[in-house]
Amino acid sequence: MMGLLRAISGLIAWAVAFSAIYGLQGLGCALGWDRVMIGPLQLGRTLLIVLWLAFVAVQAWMIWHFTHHPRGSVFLNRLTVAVAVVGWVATIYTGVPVVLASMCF
Amino acid sequence: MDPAGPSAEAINSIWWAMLAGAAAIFLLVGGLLAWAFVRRGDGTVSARTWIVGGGLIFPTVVLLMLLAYGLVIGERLLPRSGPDVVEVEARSSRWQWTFHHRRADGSVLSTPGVLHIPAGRPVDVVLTTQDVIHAFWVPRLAGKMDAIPGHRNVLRIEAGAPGTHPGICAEYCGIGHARHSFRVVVHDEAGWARFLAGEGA
Amino acid sequence: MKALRLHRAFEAIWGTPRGWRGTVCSVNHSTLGIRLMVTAFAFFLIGGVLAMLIRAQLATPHSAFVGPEAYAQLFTMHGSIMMFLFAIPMFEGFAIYMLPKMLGTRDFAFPRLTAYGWWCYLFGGSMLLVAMLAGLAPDAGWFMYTPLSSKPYSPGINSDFWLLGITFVEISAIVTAVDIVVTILKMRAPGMSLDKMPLFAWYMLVTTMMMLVGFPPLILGSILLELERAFGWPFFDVTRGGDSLLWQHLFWLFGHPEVYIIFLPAAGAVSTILPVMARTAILGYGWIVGAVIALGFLSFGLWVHHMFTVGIPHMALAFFSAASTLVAIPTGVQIFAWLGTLWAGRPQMKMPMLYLIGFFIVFVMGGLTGVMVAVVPFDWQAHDSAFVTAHLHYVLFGGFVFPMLAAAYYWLAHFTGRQYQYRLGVSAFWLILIGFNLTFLQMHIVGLLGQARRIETYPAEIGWTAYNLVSSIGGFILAFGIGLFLIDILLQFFHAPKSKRNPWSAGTLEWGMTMPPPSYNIASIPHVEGREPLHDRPDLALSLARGEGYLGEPRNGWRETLAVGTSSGKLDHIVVLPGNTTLPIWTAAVTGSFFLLMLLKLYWLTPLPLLALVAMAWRWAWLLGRKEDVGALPIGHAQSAPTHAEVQDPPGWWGSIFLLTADGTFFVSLLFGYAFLWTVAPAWPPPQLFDGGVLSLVTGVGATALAVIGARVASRRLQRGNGAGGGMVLIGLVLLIAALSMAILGAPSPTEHAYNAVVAVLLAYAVFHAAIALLMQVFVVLRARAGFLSARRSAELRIAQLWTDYAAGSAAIVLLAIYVPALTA
Repeated sequence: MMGLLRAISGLIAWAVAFSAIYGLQGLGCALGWDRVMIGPLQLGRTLLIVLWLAFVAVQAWMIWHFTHHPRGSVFLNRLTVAVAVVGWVATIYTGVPVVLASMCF
Repeated sequence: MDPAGPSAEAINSIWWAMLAGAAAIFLLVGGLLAWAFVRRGDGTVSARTWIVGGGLIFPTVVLLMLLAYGLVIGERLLPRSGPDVVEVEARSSRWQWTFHHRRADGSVLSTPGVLHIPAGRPVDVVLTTQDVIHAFWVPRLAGKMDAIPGHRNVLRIEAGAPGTHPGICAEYCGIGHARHSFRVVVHDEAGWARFLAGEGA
Repeated sequence: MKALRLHRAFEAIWGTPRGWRGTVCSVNHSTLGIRLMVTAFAFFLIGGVLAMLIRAQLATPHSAFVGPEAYAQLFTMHGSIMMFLFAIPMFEGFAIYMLPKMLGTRDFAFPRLTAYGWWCYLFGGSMLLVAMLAGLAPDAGWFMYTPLSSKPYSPGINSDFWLLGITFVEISAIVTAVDIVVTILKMRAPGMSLDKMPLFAWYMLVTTMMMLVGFPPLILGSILLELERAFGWPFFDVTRGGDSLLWQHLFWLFGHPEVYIIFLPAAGAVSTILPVMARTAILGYGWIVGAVIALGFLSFGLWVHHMFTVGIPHMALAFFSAASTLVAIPTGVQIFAWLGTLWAGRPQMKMPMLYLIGFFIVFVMGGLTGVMVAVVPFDWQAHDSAFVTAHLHYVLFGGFVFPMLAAAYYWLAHFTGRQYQYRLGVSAFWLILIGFNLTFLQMHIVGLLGQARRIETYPAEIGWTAYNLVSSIGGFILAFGIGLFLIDILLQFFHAPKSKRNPWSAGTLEWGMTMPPPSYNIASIPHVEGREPLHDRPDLALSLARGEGYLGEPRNGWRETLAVGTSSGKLDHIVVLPGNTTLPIWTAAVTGSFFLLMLLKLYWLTPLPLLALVAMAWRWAWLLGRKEDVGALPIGHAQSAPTHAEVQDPPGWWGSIFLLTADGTFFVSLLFGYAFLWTVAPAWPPPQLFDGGVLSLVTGVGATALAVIGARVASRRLQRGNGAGGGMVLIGLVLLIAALSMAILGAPSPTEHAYNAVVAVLLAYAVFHAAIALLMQVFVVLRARAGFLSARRSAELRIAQLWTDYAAGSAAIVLLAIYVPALTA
């Protein structure tokens, strides 16, 4: 069971990232962080971008870790790495709006 | 679709682009399916070509482009403030729409069942509801937006030319739902001035 | 004839008595699976008749066929029946019937739970039918948006029927999901490691995990809405701190995964049937597994795309738009894996293949329009219009009904025991395909022109008449097709010659038995070496029938089967399953009486069924177990294994893990609701925060620590052979209940503000779980006294510990969630 849990951890990481980013966006808008400026940057958007990049980095590390520390059967290892890559791509892809879209509008 | 304003035109252009893309993909899949019955398979098919090429790379490229396109258009349709924006409040209730215009002198002009707007100017419709959820939709002018209890939502619409368009409630709101409709009357500049003066209604 | 002797001996152990006694007491998975499928098909026909009435009404403008009140009941019931009473039970029944046969085992992990799930479904579904016959059916749409479904705008009993009836059916879905997950993970033939599992089992594993995470938000939403309707707790009433958007979030948090929950089992059937039709192996097994897991996760990131028009900031919409387009990629992987498989093989145009072609055509179109509505600006146009109605029917009819029709023909021999004879099937197929497309294709266009969903009439001059008339005609052609399909299937039971064992020369284990299969499935359990055991060893079926596999000799009249390691598929232990009993029907009846009393607003009587439920659950668990250690028993092939009573993680422990997973999602959804209202609802922060005194906080947190430590002390004592000593954990749990009750007494009135109502629900949740944990710990103490527990037979203690940990952890979170904002304010 731990092997299976490890295999899906890449997408669990995506789920956490997605919820955290969506939650921070909602919270930031509720607290008016889109109107607080630090220099030329919106506070809310800056925090969102930092959070997004942090998750991208952590998930990239996960891919590296799973490739270099195989455990259990060949099938499960391949699945683990593949799911980690899917999760990483998903975090990048679904996070793109933090740079592209209007934050609270 | 028969768009009569810039929002609706933008959405219309997305629709035709997507329809063409979808038709091409549908024909591709259909063709591959049909050809499988014509040729005689010999068991040597590359998983990499089919799954990585067809299932991963192909849709990823198409979808990324589509997502970016949709986001850019979506940003453009947002109700941003501007010098010539007209604001109208649309109050919905079961089963009637009432539109409130604020004149320059602060007085309010109310029109039940008919929304008056000027041609060629962006209009922000502020949506509120007295009871359940309703949705404001003028199919030929723009997309739709819900009126939610306790919230104020804003929908940007714009009509290109004077005329009359039907509008409806798109969210099911009880037994009067099908008849919960209104009309949009688009005025030219003179007509709009007359309307605001209280003559054109 | 050894095979015949074995057949008689096993049939005596596993069989169901004839007549009504067998009907009420059977726990056999084949019997129950067929019952579920037949009932679900009956609901499909009923839902179909409702659809015909809808189409009859819309065929012409200004139709006076039914009035708006009846029309509202028609479309609400059509949606609710098809979603909750047809699609989910249909694939559940199919999985219940098929999985043990594919996995090479004899029954489900929890046979009595399988039966309980079926009775709950039958009773809950009947409640809704009674409502419909009485003209009191729900009428606020199948997604029951508040405030339309709230008391002021739906004062009648109609909405209560939906909330209570559907929740009742959902309970059945949750327990069935636990049953299926544990069966797939534990109850496989030895040697069947995860990568040798039939693809259908992977699909069902992902589907049922999704159900455990996806259904709790809906159950929570239904409970909250029923609390608002019955007692005036204002979760969704904006004037008192609620927000109707909370309902939409909770509903679609369930509702979108639901679409994939329905699609995945059907896709699993496609992945099983298609390679057999193409006379080859599936292309890219590992890719498909990855794609299905990805779908399982990504489909939870889409729910807001049903809410693109509620006034959410563009960035939030964009997250969900991105996820909604992303989800098309794993679907694309599957489509191309299927196409590649067809190219690799030599496909034959048999009945199942015909329906698979229909599936390809219709489903791909539904998928393409799905990508369209994922694009935000386009969705603003299409949302709540007939375009969406068309899209969802392409997805669900294409993605579920077509594969299920293919499956019906593919596995027909399992039910009829006969070969399929071409009769009406081909004509039925064409009627269904043509009828379906006539009904829904041009609905896309009329939707974009402005025809909203759920209108019962439209003016003649608006120009929609032709579109709608064609739809209605198409609908009736489709209905004829379905009728013809039904007749075709029924005829197969009488005419065709007997089927041989494996009519399609398939490789999976469900074809390695006589048709129709016996109650015990297989006389002995194989050791699996590859993905297609029947291809690897053509003589396997006969060898198993002669008892040459594992457990080939009946023992003590026990219903024995094997459990394996979750990933490795290595032999782990023998599971002795409980036999036929009337306990499930009684428990379901008592559960039903609770819902009935709620419906009749006899709230003061509801403690009675709750107490009865406790008593039945107690008996349910007490009947199991043994008072002595039996050690490892021989299972054939010179191997032996312990029984489940003497291992650390029997199926019951795994069942608790997954039930708690669902419970945890429920809890997280509740916390989400609390945070959502706090940040989004207009009437927040609340006028007055909780002020229950620090005493109950300190006592409560201390008590949770005491309970958690006490449970471990008790466990260690048992391991050392000192009997179970539950004193400390019992004191901890009693203290916890006392502290929480104190907090409840000090809490402000839940009817005044949504904040108060949420606090009350959080505290009630904690008390409820503490009470469950307490009951379990008392149970364990009494079981130890009665001699059921020993150092080796300690699983019951471990299960009680699991629930105690959960109760303590959730209670601590509840206390912090309530006190921290109140103390820092």
